[in-house]
Amino acid sequence: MEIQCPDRESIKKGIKTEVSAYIEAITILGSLKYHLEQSGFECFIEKKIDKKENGYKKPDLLIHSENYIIVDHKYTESNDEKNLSSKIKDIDEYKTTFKLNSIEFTPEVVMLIPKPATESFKTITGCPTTWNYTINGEIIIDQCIGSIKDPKMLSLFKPKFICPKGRELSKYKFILSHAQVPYVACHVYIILWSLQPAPDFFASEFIVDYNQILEHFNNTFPPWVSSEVKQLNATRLQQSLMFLQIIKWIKWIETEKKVIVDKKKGKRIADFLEYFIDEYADQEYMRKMVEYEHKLEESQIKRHPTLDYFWKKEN
Amino acid sequence: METSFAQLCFELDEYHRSEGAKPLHIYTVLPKIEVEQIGDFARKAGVGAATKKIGDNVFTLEILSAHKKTHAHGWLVDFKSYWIILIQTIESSTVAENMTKRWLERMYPVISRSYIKPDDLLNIMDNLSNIEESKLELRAYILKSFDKPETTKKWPKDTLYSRTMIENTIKSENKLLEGINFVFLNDGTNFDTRMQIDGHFVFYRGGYRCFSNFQRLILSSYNEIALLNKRFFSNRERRQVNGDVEISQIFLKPKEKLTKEHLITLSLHLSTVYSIAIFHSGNPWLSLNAIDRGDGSSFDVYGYTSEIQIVPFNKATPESLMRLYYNITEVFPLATLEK
Repeated sequence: MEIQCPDRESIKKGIKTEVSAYIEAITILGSLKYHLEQSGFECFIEKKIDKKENGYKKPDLLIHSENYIIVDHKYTESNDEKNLSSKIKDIDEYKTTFKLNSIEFTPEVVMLIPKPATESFKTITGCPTTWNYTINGEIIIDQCIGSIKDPKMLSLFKPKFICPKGRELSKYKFILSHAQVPYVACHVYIILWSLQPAPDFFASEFIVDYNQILEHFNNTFPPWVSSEVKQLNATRLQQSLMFLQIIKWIKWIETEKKVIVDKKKGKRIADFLEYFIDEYADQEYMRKMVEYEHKLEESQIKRHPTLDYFWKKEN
Repeated sequence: METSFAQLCFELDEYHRSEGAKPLHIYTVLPKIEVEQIGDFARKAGVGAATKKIGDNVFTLEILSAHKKTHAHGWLVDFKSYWIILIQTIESSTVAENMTKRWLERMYPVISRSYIKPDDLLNIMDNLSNIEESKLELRAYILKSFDKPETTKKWPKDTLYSRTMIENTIKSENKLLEGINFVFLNDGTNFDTRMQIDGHFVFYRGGYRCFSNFQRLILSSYNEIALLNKRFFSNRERRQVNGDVEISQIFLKPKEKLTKEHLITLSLHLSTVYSIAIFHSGNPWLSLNAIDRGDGSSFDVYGYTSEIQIVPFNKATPESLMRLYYNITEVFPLATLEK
């Protein structure tokens, strides 16, 4: 297989797309859950459901109506056939029988996509039932490919399903799915500032107790996906603190459980999410370059082993 | 002998009746500290200040700029929930104004500017014009916009106050009404002043008991409204109640349908004042978080075609929230606050 040299711009674009996908997923899932529950449906976000045969799945949204409906969010900004087909393939994995609380069911499966992606998906064969959405003051969902059969769910489309954007949305910052480090770092950075002690208003830095960050964040943003899932967990926090430390916005003294925030950093940055994405893309690029060079070296050695190679191997 | 505020007003009455009276800059501000702490905090903020108590709640005040080259002095009157800072003009009125403005900026968040809405400003003007046998002559008006410096426009000579006329002018300009210069004439008194929505007043001159009447008729009304405003923006932080979180949003209704370009403009403007993270800026739907680096308050700001929503975080002081509201109205001057 050909070893591809990493491209910084495509790495950055990939991170950006994933961040956008994550933000839209929270907005849509949060609003749909709230609105559908108000309308008498039972809804679960990222609930683990066992397949009848083997394994399990965690669909974005599982709706219990007259039947079960699985709605999976597939965000894309690309019209590359390979990319779109892989998303359809993901959806196909839901077309099986599941077991939930010893009840067996074969759900209706819906792919949820942003409206601009509709035309691209329409060109791909084997598209499942697909809804597209537009987000504004409300979320407008349209059945753009195929149609669901569940009559109760179908009755919400008149002809479009207009779901009011949940006013509770600003309580939701995370779902279970992997959140990109720049996105988590933004939320951690915001919380750090809110923990600034009053006497440090004019100081050049301030100190925050590490233990306070998790507690404070999870009190401000309590679990919503399910009662046991905290929105900010230790792994997410540590990854983002490490990132913020690399870009020198903070100093994290792990042994003393202290985080020192440098107040001068980021003062003139117009959008710190964009900045974090850019910096993280650099870090990812460097990491991938090291991997690439390593692989390249290995492949060259395989093709042209030198005496040095054998010497190294022996020692 | 101790000086009371009434005595200070009397002294200012006398001074501003004289021909050579220089403008007095007045700022009503919201403090988070005691007057005695000003010096310490000013030093920490990289400026200077000294106070001396001369009466029950009256202090002399000297302020020093960041580079310590310019200074201004006057008085500070402590009403506990707010202070009135009076700065005398030494050489030029503009120098006194700019220096004090910058000094106050440096002192944030321990001293914050107070704000009222343009509508409130016109309400004060309405009340003045309703006083029997009084005349309210308009001199000029100040407009502010996020993309341009303040502009002062003059009214034609002898223009009498009319709310409708001002409102129509503002609507046609689509800018924020920042202040009005006017002369109040009454049988017994008169004064020439400027009143702004950010708690800055300039008192030029007047007749018998001019400053005392200005204080009674304008300054006290302003402060009453500013404190009500502060109350409106208070206790908006998220708080935990029985395991859930209560949020207290603020809604602004713009007069026009907001487009993607409007929302991008808003985020660009806010980025000049706050540290912001833009989570979504599109179709048109804006979602951003703004951190006030002064006091650590933070807010989610959502923009839709027909609404701007501010959702305060767990730390959101009323002073910071008022500033945010004021900054948003610089972009959407005709937006109304939903109560």
